[in-house]
Amino acid sequence: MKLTIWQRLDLVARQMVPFVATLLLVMLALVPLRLPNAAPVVPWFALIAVFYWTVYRADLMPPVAVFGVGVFHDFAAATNVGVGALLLLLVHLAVMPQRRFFMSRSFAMTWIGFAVIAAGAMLLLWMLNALLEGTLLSPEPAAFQFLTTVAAYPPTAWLFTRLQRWLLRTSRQAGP
Amino acid sequence: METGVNRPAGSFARIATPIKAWAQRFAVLLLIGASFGLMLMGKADVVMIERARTTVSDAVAPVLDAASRPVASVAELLREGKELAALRAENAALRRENQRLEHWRMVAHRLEAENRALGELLNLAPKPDTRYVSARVVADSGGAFARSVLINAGRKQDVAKGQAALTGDGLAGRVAEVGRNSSRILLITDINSRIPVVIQSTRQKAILAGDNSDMPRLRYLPDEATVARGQRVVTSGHGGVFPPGLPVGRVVKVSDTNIRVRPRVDWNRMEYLRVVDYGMSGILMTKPDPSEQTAAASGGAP
Repeated sequence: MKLTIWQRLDLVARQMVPFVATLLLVMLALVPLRLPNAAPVVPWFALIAVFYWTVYRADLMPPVAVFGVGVFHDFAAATNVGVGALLLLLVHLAVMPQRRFFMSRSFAMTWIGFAVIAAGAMLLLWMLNALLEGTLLSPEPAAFQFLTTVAAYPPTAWLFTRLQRWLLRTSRQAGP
Repeated sequence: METGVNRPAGSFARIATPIKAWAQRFAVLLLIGASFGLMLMGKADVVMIERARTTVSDAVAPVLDAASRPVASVAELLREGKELAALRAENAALRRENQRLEHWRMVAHRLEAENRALGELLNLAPKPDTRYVSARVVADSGGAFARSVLINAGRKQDVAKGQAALTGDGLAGRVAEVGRNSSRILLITDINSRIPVVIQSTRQKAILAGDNSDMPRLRYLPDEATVARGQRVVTSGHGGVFPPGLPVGRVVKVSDTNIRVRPRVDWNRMEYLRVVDYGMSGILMTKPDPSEQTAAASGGAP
């Protein structure tokens, strides 16, 4: 069956939703909270998003989108450019073969899996930043950011699950 | 959570053929290579990267500006509620302080007049006019390895690279990148921040070097320098970019190799920043002339 232009556009818009939602989340995480020492330990939402969508809808978070999210985060947050993109791509690569495993497990197991991946990513982030700055950095903020990121996984995943269901529902209504 | 709903709908074909999988893997490798390329370019301070970053900042600044207002209001409300409880005591303290400051105002007037008279006697060159641009802080830097903020004023408001950014308390940072309507302020706590300072009482010069912690280090002090806790640290004005005498902080920790300064700025209440245009083209600055925008972007010397 052939799709009309509008159906095509609708489909493309729908497929962009995870990517756009991720960008929005990355941006909102930059809003100053005016809490004591909040800025350095704001969760790494890009990591959560890439992990979630790679596990549940890898077709909607292709490597190019992962790269886009990473570069956008690096630019908007003024961190060392390229580092975020590289780590998110590595996470994407690491999660891809385990998708079925994560999908068939309980939420708690997925959460633990995410924590393991986040720990690895944070360690690499710390090492890469130290390498680029040419000096040893205190690992403390990275450790705290790891904790807040793991803590932020359940609510963020819940949000994404809602979004995914909404996508599915509306695409069924609109679909052929 | 539930896993059953997460199967792709029928309308989205899943990539299954080996060729496609191979192509995708190749794409990932290519993108990883691109990330490394970006890293190297970012490290080498390529102009293109800076321009890309300011473009992104300009794009997100209005959105963040809108989003940060309600957050700021709520924070303000909470703080006001807290302050309401201590209103009486604070009033009394303020009245006492007012009396004290009244005295200092008189002293300042007298000194200013005296200073002017002495300056005239010596034929001192007039001090450059200082202009201020006030801007809202619209974004924190995300992440554990950088300390910077985004403000909603840029080239259009005559903000230029290298200028000092202040809160009411003291020096917060310097302008690192300027976009059209937004600028990135590198805070004095950032690992890349180096500020020429002097110890106010002894006039000994040093460099205030950030290391991402709350308390930046004093480095390159002369060997004979005597540093004690509680001494005030102010900008020295060397390099001609910052006005001299901006309050920075106090020495809080002194050991043989490690001298730490606690900045006066309250990072949690930093809603507005004032960017100081000292009116002097220092080594880092070029006049923000529309015809010289490329020169300003590269931060080159005139």
